[in-house]
Amino acid sequence: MTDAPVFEVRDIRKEYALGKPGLFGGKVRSLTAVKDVSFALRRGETVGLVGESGCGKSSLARTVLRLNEPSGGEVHYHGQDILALSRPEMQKLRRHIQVVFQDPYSSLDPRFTVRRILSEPWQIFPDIVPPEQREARVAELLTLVGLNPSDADRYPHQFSGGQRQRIGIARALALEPEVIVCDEAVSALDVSVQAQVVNLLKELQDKLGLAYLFIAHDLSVVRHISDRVIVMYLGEVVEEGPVEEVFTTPRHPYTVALLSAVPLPDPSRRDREVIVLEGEVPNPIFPPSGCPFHPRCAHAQEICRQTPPPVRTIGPTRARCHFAGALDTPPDLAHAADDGPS
Amino acid sequence: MREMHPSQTTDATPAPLLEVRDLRVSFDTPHGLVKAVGGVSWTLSPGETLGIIGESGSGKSVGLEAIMGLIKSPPGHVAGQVLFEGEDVLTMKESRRRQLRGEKIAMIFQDAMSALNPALTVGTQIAEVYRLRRRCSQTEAERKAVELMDRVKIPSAKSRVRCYPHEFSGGMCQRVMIATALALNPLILIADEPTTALDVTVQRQIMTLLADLQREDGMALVLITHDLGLVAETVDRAMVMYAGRVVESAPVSALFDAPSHPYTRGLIRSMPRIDGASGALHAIGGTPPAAGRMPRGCAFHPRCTHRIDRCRAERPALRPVAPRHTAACHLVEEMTHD
Amino acid sequence: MSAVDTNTAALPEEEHDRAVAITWRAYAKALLRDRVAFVSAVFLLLLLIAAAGAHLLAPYDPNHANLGARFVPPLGTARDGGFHLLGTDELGRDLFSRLMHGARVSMSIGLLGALCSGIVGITLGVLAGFYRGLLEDLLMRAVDGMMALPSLLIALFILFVIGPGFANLILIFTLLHWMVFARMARSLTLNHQQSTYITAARAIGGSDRRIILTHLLPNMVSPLIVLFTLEIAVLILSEASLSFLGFGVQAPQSSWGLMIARGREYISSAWWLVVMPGAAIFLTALALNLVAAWARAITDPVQRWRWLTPPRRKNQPVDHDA
Repeated sequence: MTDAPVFEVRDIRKEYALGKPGLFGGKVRSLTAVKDVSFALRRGETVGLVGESGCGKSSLARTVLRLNEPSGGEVHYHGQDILALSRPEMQKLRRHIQVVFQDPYSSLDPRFTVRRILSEPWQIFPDIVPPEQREARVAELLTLVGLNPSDADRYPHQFSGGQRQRIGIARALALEPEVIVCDEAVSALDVSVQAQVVNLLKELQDKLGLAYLFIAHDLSVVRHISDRVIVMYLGEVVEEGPVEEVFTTPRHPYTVALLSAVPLPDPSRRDREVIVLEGEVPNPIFPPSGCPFHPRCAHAQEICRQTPPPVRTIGPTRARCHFAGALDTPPDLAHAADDGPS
Repeated sequence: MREMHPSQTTDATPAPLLEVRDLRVSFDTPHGLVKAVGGVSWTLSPGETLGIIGESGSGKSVGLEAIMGLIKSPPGHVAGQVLFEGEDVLTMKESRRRQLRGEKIAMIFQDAMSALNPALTVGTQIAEVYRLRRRCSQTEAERKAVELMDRVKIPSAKSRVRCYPHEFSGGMCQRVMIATALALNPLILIADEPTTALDVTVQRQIMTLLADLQREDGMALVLITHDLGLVAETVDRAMVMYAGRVVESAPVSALFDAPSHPYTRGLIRSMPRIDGASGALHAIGGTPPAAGRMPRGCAFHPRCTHRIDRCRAERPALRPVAPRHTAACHLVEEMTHD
Repeated sequence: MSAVDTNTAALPEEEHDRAVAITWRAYAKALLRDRVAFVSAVFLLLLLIAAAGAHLLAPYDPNHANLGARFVPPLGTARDGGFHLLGTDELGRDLFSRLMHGARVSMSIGLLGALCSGIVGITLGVLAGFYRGLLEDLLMRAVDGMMALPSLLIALFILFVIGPGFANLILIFTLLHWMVFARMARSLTLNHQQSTYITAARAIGGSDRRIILTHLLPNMVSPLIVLFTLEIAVLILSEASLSFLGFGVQAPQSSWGLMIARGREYISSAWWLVVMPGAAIFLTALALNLVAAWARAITDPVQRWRWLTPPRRKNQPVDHDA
């Protein structure tokens, strides 16, 4: 890992206007889906992004890719602010930052053969692979993602979900990017197939030095694949740090609850104490005052209701909580690293 | 969730509440008859929690739909026996089955949001079951609906009884579905991936709720899921399905401590763990067979690292491994001693 | 089949069956297998030949009046010994020949009218759905407004001002029918834009033009084809009503619609003057629809294997209990 980040996001913000202004102007209510999120990706690094539905993680993905226009902040690729680029310039830059989508069923054009899907990027960027080499390169890509070169003439519907996800990954690789945003890329897959795809992503990273922004709601997968992890709640980063640190000694009560809620495949530990969060994620149109997590937090004090918490740094982790570091970590998480059933 | 049912600890199993014998389900397709479930047998005792584990296409949901009489024929064909308190559900009159479906066996699904009618208030939908079956008055039914919503811990039920499904979150919709299912105090609740569409903290709430309700009512719960963690934390006994058949069945602790079928082992090992270290996952190679194109012999043999010639030729039957623990593998003895 | 060993070792056999090579031969075979579509296609083909070669193929001059052979019923023979397959009209003109010549007018009005309104409507609809904003608002209000207008009345009024004639008729039809296409194209665009593959195309740096032309439109073709054929039938009928009122095609040129209009006076004595052109319109519309339904299925990669592969219901071995 070199030190200069390949991809850096600073205070990115995405607001959605709700409805149109009336005939006489008037104020339009807005929803802040992503609130001043910052992170950096280095070569060969994976940053995991977790949170529950509505926490803004998918909005963030689309915004940093500039598939949605951000409302504020900066996104740097090798030091260049891509938000300042014109549309044609942005289209050119897209080859360096690719994305793998969640739904392997709708992310491939049903009328395209695999060959066309994989070579379409080169019609847009003809310099990457000269026409006479494309045939061979398609075969190469298919082999790389564990499919058969003879599959090139098939249509997406002829593949299983896992195989389609491999095609999606091959398409992202066709442009030889440096950064890949995986937006719930393995969430729709069955366990046994999911493991294959996770392994594939790791292999490709080792081989090609890719940087991943790995967005998922499945904490186990994120723990497995990430170097650093960001936990989001209601559009805000509540905790971030090295993955081991965050998963073994979480500092934010939300992270603690999130980790505690994950069921363990170990019947002998089913009687452990589990934190059951009350209620659900609040409506982002009417966010709570103070700390957005306070209505569901067991440790909430008056200050949490009043003042938005600052970001506190505790060792390598940063947590947005008034009491970060002052709360006890439940014993069940602290010594969680055993090897499972033998 | 926190208590073991007596049936687990004593060996004198009470008369089963539901007994499935050699259930087979197949469908007519343009390519001929395709088998979805091929000869599945199991029993469910009163108050027991049974987990059915399988990946998509393993036949875990189809089998339960068949039991509920929800498979349309044609194109579906259902064979075998499903005995509920000694009476065969598959051969009984549709009217009797419908009665059974509401009063004795209830079912909840993965996508609660779309299982509710968007044009009716949630209160009406909960009350409807009660009004139809118990023929009580509108006000009586509404009072009952509020009571049920309280039971499934929907906050301020009284004011939310007039809400429409779109005003509820996914978790709340699932609670409404559970309330509807519980309206007539069923003996069996079948939950088909009840939390798959939900966030992990909401999943925890729903599973805790189901465990509480089960403890209060003593109903039996059949949990269909692909999530091994959920099974480990919830059920007494679990069955693993692959390609339409049961490959392993065991008390849940035995299943996780001493999995005997290579598929079960693979599944457990391929699962990334929240409490585990990183590194390559032990993925199972290949993909499950497509319906209608089952390999000869053991359906798992193309993906199995232990296979021998016999696996290609002969399909293994379920064989006992330990008391109440069976697995369908030719090498089950070797696997167990591993 | 028995030794599928690795991840990569491809798809089960069934999938191989589905991946029949997509050749013209395969399409032709599929058409032959589907009897309904085949008969419809043959009918349309004959109709096209008859329309295109009417001047060569028609047994009689369509405008030649023969007062000695008035009102000959179908399959009848006139006094002068001339056989008339579909009978003759009030001036003794051969109905079959007139239908062939009329087909030329009716078919070209139907096809051209649907094509012009389709091009205008689809272009506007796709752009509105793709770019949203003001364009969409304006366009959709315009569509609503136009839909609310009594189209026959408007058509009559405009034709009254600019005068009847073939080109004017096409113009009127484009003006009055583009909304149908626009509305559908817009809603299809909105629908498909939700699909991730459109976002994916944008993510690989695809321009709007590329996304619309290579991803959006091809995926919208199926429902649009159906609408297109329905519109052809509607336009043939609209032309009939305009001609009926005297604002459409002018004599001596004739069309199916005009024939129905003229034949109406004699309906009690010579039913065939109305029934024959009516049947021609009906059968054409029906055949167009059936062929369109077939074309829609066969061009869909997800569905077409059902048509392209021969059915083999009987010999399917599924029983693995043996």
